[in-house]
Formats: sequence, C-alpha cells, structure tokens
Amino acid sequence: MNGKMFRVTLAAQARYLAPVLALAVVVAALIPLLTVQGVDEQVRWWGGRAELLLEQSRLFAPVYPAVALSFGIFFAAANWLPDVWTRWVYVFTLPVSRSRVALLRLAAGIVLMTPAVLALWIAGMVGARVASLPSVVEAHPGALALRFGAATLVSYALTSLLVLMGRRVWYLGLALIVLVVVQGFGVHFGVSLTDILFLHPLSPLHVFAGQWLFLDV
Amino acid sequence: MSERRLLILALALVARPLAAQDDLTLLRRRVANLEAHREVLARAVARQDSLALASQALQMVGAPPFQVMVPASGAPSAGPIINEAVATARSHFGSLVDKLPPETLTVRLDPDANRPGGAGPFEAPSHLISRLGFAVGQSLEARVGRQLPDSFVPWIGGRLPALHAEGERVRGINALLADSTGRGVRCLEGEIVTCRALLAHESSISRDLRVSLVASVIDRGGMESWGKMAGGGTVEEALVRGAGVSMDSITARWVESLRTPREASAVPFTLLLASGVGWAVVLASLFLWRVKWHHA
Repeated sequence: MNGKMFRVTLAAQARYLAPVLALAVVVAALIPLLTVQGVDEQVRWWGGRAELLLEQSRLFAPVYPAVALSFGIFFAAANWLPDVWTRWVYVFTLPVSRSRVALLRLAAGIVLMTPAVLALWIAGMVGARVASLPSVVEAHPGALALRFGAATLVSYALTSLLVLMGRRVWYLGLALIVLVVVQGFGVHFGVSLTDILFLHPLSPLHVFAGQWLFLDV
Repeated sequence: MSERRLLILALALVARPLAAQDDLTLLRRRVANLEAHREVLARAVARQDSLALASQALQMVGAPPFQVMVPASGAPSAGPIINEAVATARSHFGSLVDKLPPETLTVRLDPDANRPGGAGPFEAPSHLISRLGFAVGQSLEARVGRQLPDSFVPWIGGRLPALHAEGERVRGINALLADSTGRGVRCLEGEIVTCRALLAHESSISRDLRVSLVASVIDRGGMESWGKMAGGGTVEEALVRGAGVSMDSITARWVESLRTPREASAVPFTLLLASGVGWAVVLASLFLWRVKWHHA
C-alpha cells in the first residue's frame, strides 16, 4: 500500500468523518466516567461503596456493546454511503483500481476508530484512579477497550459489506432485527435467534455477548 | 331543491357525527358492563373449580423418599413439577436427598393463597400447581436443614446458600467492605483471626459472611459436602467434617476464594477477542471481494 496515498485518504476521511469521530471520542470517554460518577454521594446515603460500584458497573455493562455496534455502523455508513448515493462515480474517476481505493478507505476507517478506543481506555484508567476503588474491586479498562475495539471492527466490517450488498440484503437484515425484537417480546419461533446470533461461539456477533463489566470482583 | 331543504340536509350532516358520538358512548358503556360481568363470571367459575378441587380426594405423586399428596385433578400436572424440584435438590444437596427418611408432603388447596382484588376465599387450580414447585423446593430444603446440626440453619440466618456460589461470594465481599470498623478489610487482606471474630460475632453483616463461608465449603468440596456436614455437634464441627480441614484452613480458603477474581466466561477472553478480529478480517475481505465485482 502506497504510504502517501494512504495518508491523503486518511486526511480526507478524517475531515469527512470529523463529527462522527468527535462524537465517538466523547461518548467512549463518558461511559466509564459515568460508571464511577456520583458514587461518593450515594455512599453517604446508602453505604456499601463496593456494592454501589459493582451495581453501577452492571448497570452500564450493556452500554458498551451497544455503543460499539453504533460506532461501527456510523463509521461504515459515513465512509461508504456517499459513494452509494452517487453510484460510485467518484471512485470510477480515480486512476486506481476500485478494490485499492476500497482497501485504503477501509484501512483509514479502522485507523480513525482508534481514538475512540483509546479514549475509552484512558477514561477508564482515570475513572478507576479517581474512584479510589476498595480492595478486591478491580477495574478492567484495558480488556474492555480491546473488546470494544474488536466489537467496533466487526460492526464496521459487517456494515461495510452490507452497504455493498444492496437494498434486498438490507431488508433481510432489517427483517432479522425485527424478528429478534419480536422474539424479545415472548413470541417463539422454535429456535432462539438471539442465542444463534450472539451466543454461538462461531457467530461473528459473539464478541458482543457476555458481561462487559468495567468493575468486577 | 329549495333553500330550506338544503339547510335541513346540511344540519342533518352536521348532526350525524354528534349522534355517532352518543352511539359510541353507549357502546363503550355496554362494553364496560360486559367486561365487569365477565369478571364476575370468571370469579364464580374459579370459586366453583376451587370448591370442586377441595372436595376431591388427595392422590400420591412422586417416589420415595419424597412424595406429595395433591388433589386428584392436579396429579398429572404435579408429577413433572415434583420430579424437577427433586432433581434440582439432588443437584444441589447430592445424595443426602436420597438418604433422608421417607416423608410425604401434603399440598392442599389454600383458600388464602390467591385472592384477586381481595374477593372471595378461593384458589384457582392453575395457582395451586404453580405454588407446588416452590412448596416442594422449600420442603426439601427444610428436610436437608433438619439433617444438619440444630444450630446450623439459625447460624446462617435461616436459609441455605444459593446454588450460584458466585453470588454468595460477591455478597460476602460486599459485607466485608461494608464493615465500618475496618475489620472487614483486614479480614480480606488475610487476617484469619479477625475473620474468625467477624464470623463469630452477631452483627448486621455476619449472616452474609457465614452464608458465603458455607457456600465456599460446598463450592470446594462439592455437593456431597452436605452429606458430610449432616449429623450432630456444633456448627464448627459440621464445617470441619464437610471440608475435611481445620476451621482456620476453611477460613483461609474462604478468604482466598473471596480474593480470587471470578473465572472468565465459558469462552476465554483471548479467544473471544481473536474471534472478533478474525471475523472483522473475514468480513473486510468479503467486502473487498465484493467491491472488485460490484457493478454500480
């Protein structure tokens, strides 16, 4: 890959994705800070600092995979949808192959995700430090940031693929989401779609499953 | 058509929706009456069912050493529920469940068990069946409790540890960290004498600590530890019998279990991470392949 071409693509993508990028960094940094925020005040009323911290951590656990999924979708959509709407005319006019442009932009998108993952990790470290955690309660900002990065990558790659697949596949994906939601309301289809999509170890969405605990014992 | 007729027609058109409003109000009132009537009927039917159930002969369900007498009409549904409750008890308390003396539990209709809106003393058959699983589970737990030393169950606050040892571990940690005297933290740091003192002393946190200690003995020794703890003597003697080591060692192991972070999920973290990155690479490759062949 040509370094100069990549740098130019990266700079162009960074300018284009700047609002999404800023939002991602702020949101990623906020989650661990919100987890430990206000605990001192609550301890004054309820006591049990460790219990409150663990409870807060459990409360915020589902936010991480949801935000990772959203980031991936946002980044991919911002990266590719303009080309879809303009029917890839800009890409056709470039003096390089389409697959090379796609690779450059895919890689640029991945690099641009890094600040959000780093923000999560740094904010997690800061949050754990300022919260003066009781002994035994451990913070896992590194593991959480790595998992967050992997989940964002999967979401980004999957959405990028879906963008190319056209409307029929989008509707199929949408129908699948609707079915999962319907099943969430207690309608049974014989098999649990949520189990297949998220809990099967070979599922691409398995990285989103499980407990995303920032603080644990 | 004269102007007068036109005016009457226009007025009729305006008045029609107003008349429809009256019709709607009337219909709504009728629907409300019908619903109230249906509720009264449902209660009467439930009361009738309940009376019929109460007059029925009791039938024995289950196999020794644990059987349950239930109203005959509930027997077919009760069988699987009782079997499930006994199987759960076996997975929790091990072979001690089968060593207990034979006992027959009678679950009768309880007129006070379900009073919707405070009306009428009756219990629906479906409610009796849903209550059965809980009643059987409670009875089995009480039977296990009776096999332990007399002071054991009161010592742990009247309930045996939950099946999920991790929950008891977290409760134990929370109790130690909530201790405002600082002894809880010292115990967590490995001061066994302080731990023993906290366990012996009656306080607001002692119950959670004791349940957590018993849960750690069962977690380490397996469900057959219940059988070993059965018999007479003091609580300490029972715990020593169950764990096969001294009380100091039991306490040290308990503190160690509190301090050891929980095991990762069924799928190791690195594998989960690798799978995520791997899938991202596969999906990105598919994307690039698709770009190559994509014709806009």
